[in-house]
Amino acid sequence: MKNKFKFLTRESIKKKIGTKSFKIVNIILCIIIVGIINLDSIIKLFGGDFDEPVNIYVYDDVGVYDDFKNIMENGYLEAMQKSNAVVKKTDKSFDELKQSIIDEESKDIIINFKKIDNVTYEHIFDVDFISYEYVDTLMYASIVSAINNVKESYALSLANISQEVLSQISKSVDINRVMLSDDINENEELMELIGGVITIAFVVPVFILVTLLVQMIGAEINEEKSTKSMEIIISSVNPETHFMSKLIAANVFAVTQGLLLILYSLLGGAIRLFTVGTTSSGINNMVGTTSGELGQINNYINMFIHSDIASRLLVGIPLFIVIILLSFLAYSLLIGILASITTSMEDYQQIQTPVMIFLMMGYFLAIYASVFQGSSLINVIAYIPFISGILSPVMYTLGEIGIGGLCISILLLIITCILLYKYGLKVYKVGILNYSSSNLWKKIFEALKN
Amino acid sequence: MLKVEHITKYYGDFRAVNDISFEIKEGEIFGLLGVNGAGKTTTFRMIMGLLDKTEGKITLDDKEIDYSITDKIGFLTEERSLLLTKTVLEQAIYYGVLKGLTPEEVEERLDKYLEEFNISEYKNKKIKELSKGNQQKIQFILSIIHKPKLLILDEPFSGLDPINVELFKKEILKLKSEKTIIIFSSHMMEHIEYFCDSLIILVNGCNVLSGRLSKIKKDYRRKNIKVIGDINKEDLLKIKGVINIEKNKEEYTIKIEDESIIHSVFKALSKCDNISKFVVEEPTLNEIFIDKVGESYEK
Repeated sequence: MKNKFKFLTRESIKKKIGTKSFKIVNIILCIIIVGIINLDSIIKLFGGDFDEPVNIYVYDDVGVYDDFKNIMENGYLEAMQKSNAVVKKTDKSFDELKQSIIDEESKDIIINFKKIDNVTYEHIFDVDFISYEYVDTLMYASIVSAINNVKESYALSLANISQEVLSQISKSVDINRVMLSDDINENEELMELIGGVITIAFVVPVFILVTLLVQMIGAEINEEKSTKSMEIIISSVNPETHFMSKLIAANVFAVTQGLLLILYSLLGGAIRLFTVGTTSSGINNMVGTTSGELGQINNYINMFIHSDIASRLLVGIPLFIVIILLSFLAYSLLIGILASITTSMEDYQQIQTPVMIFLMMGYFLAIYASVFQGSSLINVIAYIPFISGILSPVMYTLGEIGIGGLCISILLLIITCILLYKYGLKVYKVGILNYSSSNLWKKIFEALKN
Repeated sequence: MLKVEHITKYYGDFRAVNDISFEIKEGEIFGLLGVNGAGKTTTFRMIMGLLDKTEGKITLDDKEIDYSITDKIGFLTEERSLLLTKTVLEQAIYYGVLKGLTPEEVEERLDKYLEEFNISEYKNKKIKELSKGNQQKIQFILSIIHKPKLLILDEPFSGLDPINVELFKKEILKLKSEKTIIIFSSHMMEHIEYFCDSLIILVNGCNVLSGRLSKIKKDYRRKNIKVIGDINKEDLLKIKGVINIEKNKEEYTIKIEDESIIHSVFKALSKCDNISKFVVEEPTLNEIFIDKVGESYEK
């Protein structure tokens, strides 16, 4: 019987993993994941307007060119890098330059500082901002800010304030930020960001894997039932062996697929590292931010590495793995039992709906967990088996539950699996040889009573 | 020997099988008959150990049937029980290994059977690509590939043309000669008559008739008299004990209640002209079946 169990499990795994469709789907998945991680590089590879450098030509009658250039290059680096912009002077006449921008429909900008006659602190110089069409909002705001900074600096120098004093005035105020709450979360911003990242990097793959698991088990049991080959199989191996072989095969598939997804992500990261020299833009793309926010993302990553979250995750990840594996098992037990009592794929599609709703609940609550931190409802639901597989790791990462909470989730999942196995097997034995949907629930209750 | 002793099966309050017993010796073919829903499938499933009995005992060679001896049982289901996406070889290995063979043994035996059934070219074809008849051949091969001690055949000739029916008949008789215990179920009574040494007829899970076929026929009092000639139907029907007269082409079948009527019929026919045939025959199993099952339904 042991050999038959191994054989059935191996056959079932082969049916899921050794197929052409599995290989094709995984090639596609690999391409998509690597592509998403390197999306910006791919976009750049095909070229476009974004590649063209933006020249900010300065005409200066006032004598503020150096100041302006300095402020733009040091104070607004982010905007400059994003637009690949350079501040420079030109030998061309003002009209020639204007004409050339019109002719080439160029993205270049002309900043013309013009002297005025009656200088006051309020009105020191005039400025023309000339471009062919609307300039990127960030770039426009940065240039306007820089011009205002230039004005302030020029005005201060007109008021005979020395550079030394000027730099002292410009120095930022030291602010001592005090929060009075005892249970204030120092990593509030980080939590929100991590919430977003976790949703994509953890919750979505787990959701997809459980969905695949549910489909795989249902389809296989239904196929064997609808072709009546179940009669032959069950006349050779007991239902328990058959059931366990299906569960293990489906879980091996889910774990393999999960590991492959991680592998594709690592491959994408490695390609990024090799081509761009940083992996952080991968996260940047994943959370849907622009490359202009790269600096901020890097800050968050540094904050994350140095926060207590990283060290907590180190302890939590082994427990996450246990929770996920137990959740896979619980889902496969439940869905295997449900699949055994259905008589067609259509029946199965209907009966799996409540299971999918549980999964969806876990998915959405995991998304909301970072938004509604401290929610008692989400906290309690995080322990419910089937939902806990997705929700408790997220809650732990967000600091809403501790190691003890994860252990309670694991314990509840173990109890659920034992109960499902004990009582589910009775239903399975009756269900797999049942081809009629009449009196189905009666048959199930009878089976449970025996 | 397969011994089925007083087995009863309840599904909740519903009694599917009620106290049936029979024995089948090695090399015997046993007919399990009944209309749809009579309890045949439940009986098969209990024999194979798929279903727990509510009461009774089933033994094969004095050993209660459980998963330790199910490798000795072969089963050909009424419907196709093949995984359509597998090739013939893959399917054979799948079922064969589950019956305790190694993949190598399966392939070796499969080659032999495919040749015997003239379908060697389908070895690596997918089941779904095969015709209904060839699928049935594969299904039959897979039910005997592990050389079972007990073979259950549920409508084995379904979907077969007359040539293949003969091929199957030959193979079944070969298995009989090799001392295989065979349970045969079919709605085609001529097949039951051809193969079975003994039988049981089930109605609503109850045994309404069982025993050796020859004895059943002998004990069944009604007889048929086959006659060819110009007969007077009205005169014959007036004879007490003549049930009815049917005509099929030139031949008349006079159904009588028992042997004592034969003489009266013969006397009446001797007055008729051109009588070229007068034969007294045992009733067919089909008639017995219809009579017994109908009787039980009326009850």
